Amino acid sequence: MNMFFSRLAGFWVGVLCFAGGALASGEGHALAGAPGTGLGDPAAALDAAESGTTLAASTAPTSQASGLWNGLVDSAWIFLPDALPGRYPAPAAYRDPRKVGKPQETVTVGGYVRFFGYNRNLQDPFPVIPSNPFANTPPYVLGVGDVYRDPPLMLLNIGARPTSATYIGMDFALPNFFTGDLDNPRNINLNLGINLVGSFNTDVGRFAVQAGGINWTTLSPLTYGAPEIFRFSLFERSPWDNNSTSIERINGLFENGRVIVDERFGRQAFKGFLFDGTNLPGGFEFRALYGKSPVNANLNTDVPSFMTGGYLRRSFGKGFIGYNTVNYVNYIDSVAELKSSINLHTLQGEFNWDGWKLKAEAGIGRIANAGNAEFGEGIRLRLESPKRVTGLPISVEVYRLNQNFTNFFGSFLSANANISGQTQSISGVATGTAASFAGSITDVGQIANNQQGIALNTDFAFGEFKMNIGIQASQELERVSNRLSFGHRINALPYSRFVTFSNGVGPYGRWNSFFRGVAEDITITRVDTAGLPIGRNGFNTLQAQAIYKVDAGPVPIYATYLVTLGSVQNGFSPVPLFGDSAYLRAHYHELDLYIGATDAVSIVLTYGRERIRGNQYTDRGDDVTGTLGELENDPLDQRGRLLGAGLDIKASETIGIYLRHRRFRQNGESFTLDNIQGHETTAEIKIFF
Amino acid sequence: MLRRLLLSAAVCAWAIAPAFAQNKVQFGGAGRLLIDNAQLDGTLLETDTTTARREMGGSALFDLGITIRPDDNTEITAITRVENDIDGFWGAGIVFQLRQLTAKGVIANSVRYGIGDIDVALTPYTFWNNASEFRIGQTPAFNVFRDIIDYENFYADSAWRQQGVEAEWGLQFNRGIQALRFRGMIAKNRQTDFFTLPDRMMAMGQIGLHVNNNLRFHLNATNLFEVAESAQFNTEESATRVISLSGSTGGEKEKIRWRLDGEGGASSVVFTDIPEAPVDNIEDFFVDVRGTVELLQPRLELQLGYVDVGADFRSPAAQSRRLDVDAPAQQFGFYTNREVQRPLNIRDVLLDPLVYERTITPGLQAFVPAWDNVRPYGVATPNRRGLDLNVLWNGDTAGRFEAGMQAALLTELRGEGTTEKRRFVDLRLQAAWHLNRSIGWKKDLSLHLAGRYQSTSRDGTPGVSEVALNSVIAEAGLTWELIDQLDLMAGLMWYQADGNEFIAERDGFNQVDFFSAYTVDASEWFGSAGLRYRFNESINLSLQMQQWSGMDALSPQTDYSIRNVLLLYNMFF
Repeated sequence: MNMFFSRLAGFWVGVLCFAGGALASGEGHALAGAPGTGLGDPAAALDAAESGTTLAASTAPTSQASGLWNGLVDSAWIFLPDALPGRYPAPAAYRDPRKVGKPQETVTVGGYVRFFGYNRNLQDPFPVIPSNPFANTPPYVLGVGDVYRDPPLMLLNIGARPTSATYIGMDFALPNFFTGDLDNPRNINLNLGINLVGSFNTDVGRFAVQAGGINWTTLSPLTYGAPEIFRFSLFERSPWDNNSTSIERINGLFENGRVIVDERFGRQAFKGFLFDGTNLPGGFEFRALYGKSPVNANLNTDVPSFMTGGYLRRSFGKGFIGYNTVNYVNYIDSVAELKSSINLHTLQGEFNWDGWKLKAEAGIGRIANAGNAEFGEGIRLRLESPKRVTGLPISVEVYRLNQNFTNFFGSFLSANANISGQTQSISGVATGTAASFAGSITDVGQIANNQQGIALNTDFAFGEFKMNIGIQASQELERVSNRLSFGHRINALPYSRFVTFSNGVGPYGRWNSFFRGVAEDITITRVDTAGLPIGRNGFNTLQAQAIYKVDAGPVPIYATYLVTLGSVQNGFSPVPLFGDSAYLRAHYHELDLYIGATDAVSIVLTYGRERIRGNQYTDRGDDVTGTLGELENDPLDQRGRLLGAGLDIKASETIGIYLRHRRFRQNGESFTLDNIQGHETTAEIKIFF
Repeated sequence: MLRRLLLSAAVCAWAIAPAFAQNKVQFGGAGRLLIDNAQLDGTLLETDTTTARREMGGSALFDLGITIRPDDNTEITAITRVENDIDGFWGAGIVFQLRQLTAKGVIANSVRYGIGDIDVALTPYTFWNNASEFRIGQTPAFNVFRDIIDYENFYADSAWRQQGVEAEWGLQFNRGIQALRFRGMIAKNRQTDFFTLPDRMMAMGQIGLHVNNNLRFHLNATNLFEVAESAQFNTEESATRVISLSGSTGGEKEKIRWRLDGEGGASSVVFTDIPEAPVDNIEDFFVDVRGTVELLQPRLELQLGYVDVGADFRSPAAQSRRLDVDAPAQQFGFYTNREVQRPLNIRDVLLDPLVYERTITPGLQAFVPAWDNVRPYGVATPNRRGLDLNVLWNGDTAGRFEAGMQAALLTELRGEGTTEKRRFVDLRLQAAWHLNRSIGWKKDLSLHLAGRYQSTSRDGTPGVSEVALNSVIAEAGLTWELIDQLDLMAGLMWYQADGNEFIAERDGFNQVDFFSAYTVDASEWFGSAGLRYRFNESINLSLQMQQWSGMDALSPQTDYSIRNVLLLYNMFF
């Protein structure tokens, strides 16, 4: 290095000699200075940028002017070949953010810390791939994080508002999985992504743009939306839940008939460009989407895959009519000439008159794989009566969705939503879509394509007892599959953690796991030569949820009971079947007790049972002969149980502690490997800031 | 004297005090969403069965800059970047980067310093980041993307982004001369591999002598040098040193301003312990003198300059190019059934930030003669002698018209491969017509026009054919503010070149070792039209439809066109 320094010194010797001479000859003093321009002198930079300087001033590149301290010396050059006329920065100038606009004095910071400790203890490992014991779910787990993309340990939202009409923000997911490994860095990530927002008013309306994402958005239920289902137990918490205790949440359900949900409820994930126009002449408004849904995302290729969508609505009074469309487009070959798409177009209206409400949406849809395809119809009508007329508020819904009317992200299940070249799984599993597996026993309100049906809902109250009841009956339009699907409702969350986002796993390869849930398939064995059931299947669900507010003096206590009774059978039935004539019966019972011990502490207890039974025309187990599927064996007869307890502590408005312990069990009488027994304990500490 | 010195220093400190009256922490940055959906078409696809006909890409990014001022004399700036591919869902496709980290301030109230990522420029012959090709006009439809290219590549004015240390110190005098300023910088240009590839450093120094407000001199020096000891199995090293003296003077009398600027200097390239290197140092010099007259009424500026840049003048920091003509294009980067790299076109140059260089390179980089053959390395392009004539007129008091013209008439100093010398003509015209002011509209309606003609010629000699290369670039832009802050934008660029040249191929020591024949007969055009909404001057949202088409008469089977739809929400704040 000596050579380096000696040469460096030699290089500067002339310069320093010159300086030395000047020093020797002059009576001088040091010039003080500011740290510089850039953010250090934004006002001056802004003035210069906006002053509308003369051509000469604006075009003259200055010697030395681009150093740390612009403006120390006058310009020495003009009209170099780079110089151009016009009231613009010099052509070589760039829009340095340090020099543009008034610097932000603040950025917005928010988010939460969520510690989620998790312990699972199974009596036996759960076989994920039966032939591979190393693929088993570990029976004992002590960890942090609930295996989904909840941000462990912190969600940090950072945003800036450059002007009153613009905003940019991002949400960091800052991890700490408490592995004890300090040698390897913990990689930060974004939870949803980066969002740029802008809005502006004009004489013809107000316009807003959201760019980036993930944004949670919706068009209409049939085109881009999600089912809005409220019948579920509140024992379990979600990562996005706020800091309210169980007693507060059940009180909200009791008083308002609804639980508090987050922004994604009823919406779907979207990345790209969202443009809204409202307050347009004539009562019109519109929304346009151009970008990516999760099924269009593919980091491995630049071959186009995108979605477009939008609506145009005209409001009148308390209602509106509108047109909606969504289109998923994938180019499926390497040279991007063959295109597959799903296209839906609907007309939608919401009408209110004298307490009656009508929500209607109808349209056409198609799934075109590398060519044209026929459109199929999709209709969904819901009429809600006022209580003063019918005694009880009654909601009647009828629907008919052709199998060509399919959608990844509609409010209905689409077993056939798949366009070639799609890189993600088609099911609701990997994509988080509402698509599903086969003919399913669903909640009331959850509808599926290739079906037509009717649903009735009502609710009533007697003093402190409130109840809502729903019944849904539907039938296939075409025979398309002999597969049936049912969920494990009462232990959905702990089971889904066994193996996430997977299809065809489990001891019999029948399990499908999706976001915070699992389902199993069975097949109908009474089929024709094409392998299809002999008739069109009918699907039924009856659900009732009762809430009773116990009069226990100063201690608020609520008891809830939720029953779900479902069946699948050959042909239509107005009500669920309870006998062996049904291919599949699924019964779930969920009983919860909520106790507000103090204003800040609440206790929650839960007990659940489920029973799933197939009839003689469905898969046979291995209970008699030991060989799966032989006719001597019995059909599916599965039982599940849950016993759980929880404690919520609201330390402050921003800090909450939530403990849950559940003991679960599932066993099959006929499928002997269906044997799950264990317990799970979770501890959640959530701090909002 | 000490008392006087302290008093003067105190006065200076007082004068700058208001500049510090800011928050200790401030924020700035940039945000962007870009979605581009493009389609390839043309004759090429009749035989090409491999290349994808369509591509779609895009990303969202957020650059967050934080400036911290722990005290009045220190400022620290960090800019982080988070970029998320449009195809990345649920945490996929996300990149985190540190884009800038700089500390600067004042030591002992007299020495200003900067450490980290700093932007450095001196003079066009010593340390200068020249604009790249196809920047002849100011069409707003194109400037949207030029801004992004410049921002992405740290092209701050004419400065190069350096990672190093810079310091400045000055003396103000009471008599004789006004001030002396000293400035120096050293930065890492290349990192050693610790074995055979040594560190390379970039150093710069300047002494400014301010005699008075109208007479200033600067002694400028740069040195790009390797440090042999930094690689343990290496003894070789090279250095390129440049020193120049520049001066400027001027005055104003009634309605006339005048200036006289000049710079002259020399360079020396030294190779040490490199057997295959030239034995003698490569040395040459340059001279640049310019006189400028500005008439205030009417507002007309005239400049006449004489330049003489030696054939062996080497100044890496002033001759490094922004555009890397050998870089693969981001979109449709490879084509034909052999999947060869697609040569860049003007669409790539206008839209693609990834085909630009960010670092100073010691050698003269490749260029496309048809794009710029006159001064591909900026004003410091070696082997040029001749005149520059520049005219600028904005005499219309209502601000309706602006126009400018630059002409360069140059010859080579030394023939390349022959005794004959090339002759160059570079003629540029720019004009802006603010039509709204002509017809009394309040909202903007402007027309921007620009053109460039280049000609290169050389007589033939026995065994060496003549050179005749001509190229024309034309750019036109329209901006029409339909409603408040919503503009209709349109831009068109056309380029045509034909003729022949010989491209000098250089060895690792910048010496010409071969000439390859170059023939061109091609034309391209690129059009862009769309809408832009300006939230303010630095935040805008635009939707543009674009089409590029090219024809190469020498290779018609690979003619193709690209059309695309592009959505851009761009923020600088």
